[in-house]
Amino acid sequence: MKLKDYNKIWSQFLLGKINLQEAQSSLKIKNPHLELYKEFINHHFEFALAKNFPLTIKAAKLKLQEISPLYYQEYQAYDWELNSMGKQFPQFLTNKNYPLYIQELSLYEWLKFDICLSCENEEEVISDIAQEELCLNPLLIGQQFTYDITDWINKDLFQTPLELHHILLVTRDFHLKNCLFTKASQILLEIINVFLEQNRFIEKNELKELMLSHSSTSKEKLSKEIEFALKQNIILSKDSLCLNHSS
Amino acid sequence: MQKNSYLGVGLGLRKKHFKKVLENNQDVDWYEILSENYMKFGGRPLDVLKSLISKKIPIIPHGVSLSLGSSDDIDQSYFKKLQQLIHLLNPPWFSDHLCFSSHEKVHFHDLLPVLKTSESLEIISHKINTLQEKLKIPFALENISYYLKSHLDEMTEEEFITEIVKRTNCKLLLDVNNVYVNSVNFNFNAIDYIKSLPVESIIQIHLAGHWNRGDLLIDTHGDYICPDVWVLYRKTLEYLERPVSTLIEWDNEIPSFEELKKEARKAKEILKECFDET
Repeated sequence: MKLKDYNKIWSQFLLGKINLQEAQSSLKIKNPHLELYKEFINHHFEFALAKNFPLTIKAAKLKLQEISPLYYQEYQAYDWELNSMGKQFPQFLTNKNYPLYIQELSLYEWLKFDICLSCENEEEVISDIAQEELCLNPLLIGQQFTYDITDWINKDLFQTPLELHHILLVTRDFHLKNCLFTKASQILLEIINVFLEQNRFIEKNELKELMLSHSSTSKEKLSKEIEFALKQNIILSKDSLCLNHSS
Repeated sequence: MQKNSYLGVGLGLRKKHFKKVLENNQDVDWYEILSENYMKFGGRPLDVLKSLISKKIPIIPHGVSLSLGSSDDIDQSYFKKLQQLIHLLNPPWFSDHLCFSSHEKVHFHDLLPVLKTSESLEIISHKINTLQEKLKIPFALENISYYLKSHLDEMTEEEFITEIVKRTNCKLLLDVNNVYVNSVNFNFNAIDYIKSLPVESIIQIHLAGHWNRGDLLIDTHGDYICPDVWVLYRKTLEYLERPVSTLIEWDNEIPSFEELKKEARKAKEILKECFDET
């Protein structure tokens, strides 16, 4: 048999496209352990889902042994990277019509996992900017949420969360690489917009001037929001590395 | 070559132990990493890796996704990332398994048995030669545990591995636990199997725990190394008459760092008993 055909039969069996008898016969295997490999793969997917979505599994009362094979049948892994196995799980829950807050919780958990391991290096960006300049964190993710997931996960997961239509800003801690979530205020969104429009590093005083020119926010409030944005790593300065974000 | 390649006894670098690893790095001779966990990601794993590199602790990249036994070519995005990782680590060798784990872009994330035919031999050897030529460091091929045999195979595993080594001059990563598991499941003599391999090419040994299901031993990397595997490890070293870099693998239900170091100390004692100079 050609190697390609051998690989193909295995693949068809593992993806449930041919049955055990067909696979055993085609691969000329007499002992009964071919099915074991399916169990191994299901176990890998179970492990990945348990690792990436512990809160979603708890809140939705998911039985991993049942849901994992279904997920695997629909969303095979197209990436050699093992951590990517859970990437499509939020989409899977959407397609299965789970409540929106469950879908959003799974997305929240994936974002948290994904950004912590991101290859983007904020420190490299800081090294490029001058002492008084600020820049937008290249890692920053903004995600629209309907439910207040960050509040909910600290309360009772078996109660429906409160609705709070908002944008959640996701960054990470410099030192521990933990995830930082920030509910975006109107001023924070305006700050981000200025950086997106200008598409360059901006000095702190210039940022204030740009903001004040088209905003009714007080100078004092604006200064506070800029400091908050720096603390949450939404924007970066030369001193960002020295800020203790882990507290 | 053999003397220079001896690193001592190492541990698999796992996230659970990052803090301890950074505190206790002098207790462990070297680390092995799962290559794929460091090829796409930054964050804390990369920080820990860079910290170990700065302390000049050897780190060997060990992959699970090369899929040598697949008829597909090596994924170029994978190769580029592996190349970058090797550039960062500057390791004395890198390794992966004699298996296939993907077909036509679908990844199964498991080590599936290869077809042992002359065509397959040609494909696998070509891939190994290409990798060694481009990456300019030796590749070590690991024997896997398997739970079935196909009558499509034209040669035994020993013959197949021997021929690959002959065609590529690659190294071998001998997983002693896998040999033991296969020997029990398929009723053959484990040390005879090892003796039939091109043993001069063995550059590294893996030791791990397995699970006895009753009817079958299953390679889980989730338990202590069993007494029979320790005996086989000693017999292997005695037969090789030289120390070999040894790695304690533990990937599931990972114990404390101290428990892992106890297993490493056992390996060190055996090495010391076999070879005074280690």
